[in-house]
Amino acid sequence: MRSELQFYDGLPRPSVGCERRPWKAIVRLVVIGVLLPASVQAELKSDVATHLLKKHCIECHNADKQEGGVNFEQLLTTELWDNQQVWSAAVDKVRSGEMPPEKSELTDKHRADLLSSLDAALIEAGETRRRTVGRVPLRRLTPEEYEYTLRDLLHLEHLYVKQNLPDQPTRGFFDQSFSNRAAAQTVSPAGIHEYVKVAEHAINMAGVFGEKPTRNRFVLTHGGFSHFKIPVGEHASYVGNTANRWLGMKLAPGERSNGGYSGWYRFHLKTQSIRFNEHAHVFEPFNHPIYSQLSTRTVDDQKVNTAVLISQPHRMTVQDGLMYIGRGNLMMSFLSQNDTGHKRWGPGVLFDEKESWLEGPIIDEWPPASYRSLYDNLPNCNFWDAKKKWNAGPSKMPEKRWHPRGDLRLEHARHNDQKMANYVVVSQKPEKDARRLLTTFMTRAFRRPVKPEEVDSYYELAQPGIEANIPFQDAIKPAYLAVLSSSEFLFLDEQPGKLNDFALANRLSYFLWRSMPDEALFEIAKSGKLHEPAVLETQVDRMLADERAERFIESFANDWLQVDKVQAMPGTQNAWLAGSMKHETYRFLREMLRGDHDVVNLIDSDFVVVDDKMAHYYGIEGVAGPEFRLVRLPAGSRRGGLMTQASVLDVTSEDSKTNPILRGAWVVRKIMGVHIPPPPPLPPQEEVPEEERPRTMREEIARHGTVRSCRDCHSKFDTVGFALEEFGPKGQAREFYPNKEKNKGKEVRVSLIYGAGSHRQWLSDERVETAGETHNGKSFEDVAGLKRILRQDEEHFARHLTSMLMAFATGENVQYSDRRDIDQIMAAQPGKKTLRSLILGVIQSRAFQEK
Amino acid sequence: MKNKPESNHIHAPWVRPAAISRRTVLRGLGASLSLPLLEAMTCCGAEQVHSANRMVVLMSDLGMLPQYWFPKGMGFDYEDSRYTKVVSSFRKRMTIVTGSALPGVDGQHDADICYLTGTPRPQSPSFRNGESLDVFAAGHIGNETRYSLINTCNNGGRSMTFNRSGSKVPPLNDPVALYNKLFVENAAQAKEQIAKLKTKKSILDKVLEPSRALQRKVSATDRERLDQYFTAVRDAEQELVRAIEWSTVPKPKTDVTAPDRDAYKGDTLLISSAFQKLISLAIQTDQTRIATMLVSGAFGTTFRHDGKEWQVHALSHHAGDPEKIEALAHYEESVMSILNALLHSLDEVQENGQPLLDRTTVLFGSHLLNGHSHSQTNLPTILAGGGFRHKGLIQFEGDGRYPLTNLYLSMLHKLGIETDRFSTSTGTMRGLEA
Repeated sequence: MRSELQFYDGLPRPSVGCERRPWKAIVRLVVIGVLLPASVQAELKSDVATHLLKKHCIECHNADKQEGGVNFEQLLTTELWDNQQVWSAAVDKVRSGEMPPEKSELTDKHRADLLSSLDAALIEAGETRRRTVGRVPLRRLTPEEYEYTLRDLLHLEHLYVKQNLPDQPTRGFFDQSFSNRAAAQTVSPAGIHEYVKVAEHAINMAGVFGEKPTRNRFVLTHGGFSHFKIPVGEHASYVGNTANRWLGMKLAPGERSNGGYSGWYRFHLKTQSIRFNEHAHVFEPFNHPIYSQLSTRTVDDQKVNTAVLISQPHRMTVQDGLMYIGRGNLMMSFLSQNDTGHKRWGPGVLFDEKESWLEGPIIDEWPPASYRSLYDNLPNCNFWDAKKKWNAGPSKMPEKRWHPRGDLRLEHARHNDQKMANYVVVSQKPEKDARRLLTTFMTRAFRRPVKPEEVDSYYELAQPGIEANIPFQDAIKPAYLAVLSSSEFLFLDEQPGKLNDFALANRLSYFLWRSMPDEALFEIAKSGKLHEPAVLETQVDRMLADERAERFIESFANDWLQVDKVQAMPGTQNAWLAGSMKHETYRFLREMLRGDHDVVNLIDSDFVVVDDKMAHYYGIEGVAGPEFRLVRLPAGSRRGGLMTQASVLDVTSEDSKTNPILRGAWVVRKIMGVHIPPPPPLPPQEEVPEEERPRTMREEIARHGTVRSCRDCHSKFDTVGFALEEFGPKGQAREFYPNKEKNKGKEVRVSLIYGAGSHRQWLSDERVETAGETHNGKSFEDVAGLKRILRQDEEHFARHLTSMLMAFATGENVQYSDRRDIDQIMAAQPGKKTLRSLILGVIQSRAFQEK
Repeated sequence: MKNKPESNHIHAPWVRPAAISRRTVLRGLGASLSLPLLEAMTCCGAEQVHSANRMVVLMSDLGMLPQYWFPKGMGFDYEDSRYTKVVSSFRKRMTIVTGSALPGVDGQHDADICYLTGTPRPQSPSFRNGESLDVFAAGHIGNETRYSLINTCNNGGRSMTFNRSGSKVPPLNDPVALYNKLFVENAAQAKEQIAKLKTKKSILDKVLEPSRALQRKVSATDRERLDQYFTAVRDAEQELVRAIEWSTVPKPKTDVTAPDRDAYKGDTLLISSAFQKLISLAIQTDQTRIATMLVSGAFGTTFRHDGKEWQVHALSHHAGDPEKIEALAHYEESVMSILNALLHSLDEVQENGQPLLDRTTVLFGSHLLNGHSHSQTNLPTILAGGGFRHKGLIQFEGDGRYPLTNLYLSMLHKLGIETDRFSTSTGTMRGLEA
């Protein structure tokens, strides 16, 4: 008799009919038990499924033929989990009837048997995985998460470092992964140096020394730096239609400043839009408002936009507000360009300099929060004063570094950067202070309580400096840098099984704020109450209402809809429009979050969230001002929902023409949640003779139907994009395709940019046709019809959205065995589903609360 | 960022004792170092002399127009194609390989990361890249020089260079930065520099200390991921050790002036040419022995020709338009000129009485046959120099899938690196005797 050990679900079980020498079987059991890896994975071992697959599927899906790239011969002998994507797709295709093809003899009963055993096997494999290693591999902070975390840790408002970090995440175009997907992360050795450099930069930025800056009034200057101004009379000047011109600032008469400082300033600017006739050298009235973008450079030399100045025609008007002014002072660039093409003079802004002023910096606390995050209440002063004042001070000069006070480039003001170079942080008990500061810092940085031994360990890096009596900030810096480069900071600590409260707090805050938990959340985690449903829900609502939730909206929109890819040539009118296009989508999503809208509004809505530029772009009247607000769409408008927003239409087009295939793929992937695999390598292309070349875009696309390997996938989405053909490459409405040659065909005047006049366009006589059909055979006449079709399956869309939220929230895509969690979330909200309710559902799910 | 300390972009997994004596010699020679340096070194006997000990890879990632690439004929009796004509003066010292491909590597443009690693299926969700040829070689023969490896790319961060843990080694994409690395000293700050390096090293040492908290219950797969991180830290720390050791050795002097960013801005051919000149200098001054240059046309790079600015990737999808094809041919011909200049620069310098070209294995190729169809078989490939017994034009039968990784194995053997296989190789390249 031979014994055959059979494995079922990875657990050895002796079969009927044991060997005469049972001890051999036991030894085998023990040996195999030892050799089995701790994370038990297994191949598909269901007899039923294997038998049916061999009978009905292997004929085409074997090692030789590999139809569709699927080879069951191999799949049956490899780990189930390694290929779970293929298995999931297989199950879905069998369930929908797509596979096996019609001529197969698979009976309904056998189909049901096959499905249920595959289903059970996949779920079991998933559960085992969750139990042993977790759904999500160890997660490292992405460059974006790192930057936001540093900002929150050091209380730095302006810190732009993520582009300097290595291992920039790539968005999986074909597998719809989010950029925070853990499995796709790698680190290279050069990357480590970058992390240390960036951390050092952030610490420099945070350590702002010196006395509190005085609050002063500043006026605009009449010449000087701003030599692109023309003085007009004694107290006014005109700034022409140019890009990036300085607005000079100086202290108002009688003001004394201790040096000027980057920060928030109140502004009061009196301006008017006007035209300068360069030939006649006179000023003439101008009939449109002029929007100007004011920008500044941050302390570490990053250009940021700070305010939009609106100058009305025909009369001077005043604009008040708050803006951030950095070390680069203010620069102004025009956002609308008149169609006469004058770049230098022409339309411009007239400033009343007597009645325009700036006041600040407005400082709530000093030293600023960023300083205190590193040095708490330790004073700082001049190197020589330290000994005098406190009889404690370093015996060496501080390390040379640039100082982030960020003096404004003021006329007639002292520059303080060099003075700050001699400042030191003073501690009378450096060892005690260092340990105390490190304890607080490490607790916050590691996002959990720290043990004294850990503090001791990092203190070792500060010890040499303290013993050598170098300035305190230099002595403690290596310890801080080590903390910020350590795995405890860079990785999220999650253990398989139910997450503890600290890990749950991390997941929550990285989901909704893309950063570390704040004090309040941390306290609740410490109290052990975070996982209680009522407490959790309260926290979620608090976090969604916080302005840091904007980070979630932007991140999620960038990954899902690729909004950040909207680009325009800088300095042209499109640059401004591109900004509004992006913000429209972000604000729309914010409205979905804050308002009580059903998620189906993402497919089609009766409202948009626009500013005056986007309203003009969409042909909506009666909207003035640059703030975004909810506007009900007029009847018959086709702009509701996401797919008809200008940003989406822009990123799914090529530079100068539309690409229905891209758009179709976008709708099918992003809205319908259908997986589209990457294209196979093309067979060698023969050159097509002139006469046979396709004439129209539809003919071109129809060629996909002639090649089998193209058709299989392209049939799913090619024609869907036709619905969006009524929108051009920048999302503008159109009825006819533009003519390829200029000056031929019908000429029209198009006004797209609010306040910027119009330009000429030539139309061909090829009318835009928008009819098409979806992959399940439903046809539509235009985009409204397509949206109607998509709305019919609201549940499906809600599931898809929930899957994406879950992927984003946890750092891993939704796998087959996670579908149960999605089922439960859907079941718990049978009626209306909002973005908030889905987010809450995800957070309450097992998948979120376990690793 | 202001006051960014200059990074020593070097890569060395470990340091061999033999290297130190060479460094001492260089230190002793002091500031009198200049081109050519190599003669001065051969007196020391501190090096083992193999038949080849340098490697340069030049990769152009959009392939080559087949009608201008493939020469006709066999052996050394072939009729030059438009492109091979550019390098025709090296006919007897190169082998043009046709009919080869990287087994299992699909993924079109995204497969540039597999050109030197040969790891199959780059688009599969569980893809983890392998160690690239240049890193592998540098680990064996790269330690005698200040920089064990220099990798450049004219376009952002695209790279063919991957380390042991499958992480990308970011390329240099600014010729000025490479120039500074090679020739610009800052003796005044040297002492401060060393102190900073030592502090950095101590920071990384601290990071490497076993962290009980995180590693406590981490599963095997997660420990692997954490180890990847720690490997990176360890390698970074080793780089610092090397940098500390090299910081007192003076860099060679040169008459060549620094590249001018404004002159080549927006023109990928000028940038690539600038890189080639610097890499030639780097090899001639023995600052490195392994260099890879990625000339990338995907996506967004542009060049100027015939009074117009062309976008390379758009050109590669010419759809038969003759004007575009001609512009693309100009681009590809210019890349061949860069190869030609590289070969000439290595030929005109001698080491031990031999032209440097005979001691440098030069690989030119692409991971695509041509950018239009994105096909990845029958890849354009030229092997030059290295002291090989070259064969001129050789062709492998089959459907263009003879493993290119076999060539890589042959290259490694020629460099004196004993290894049975490299990536997907099935042996050394048939017909190419060392």
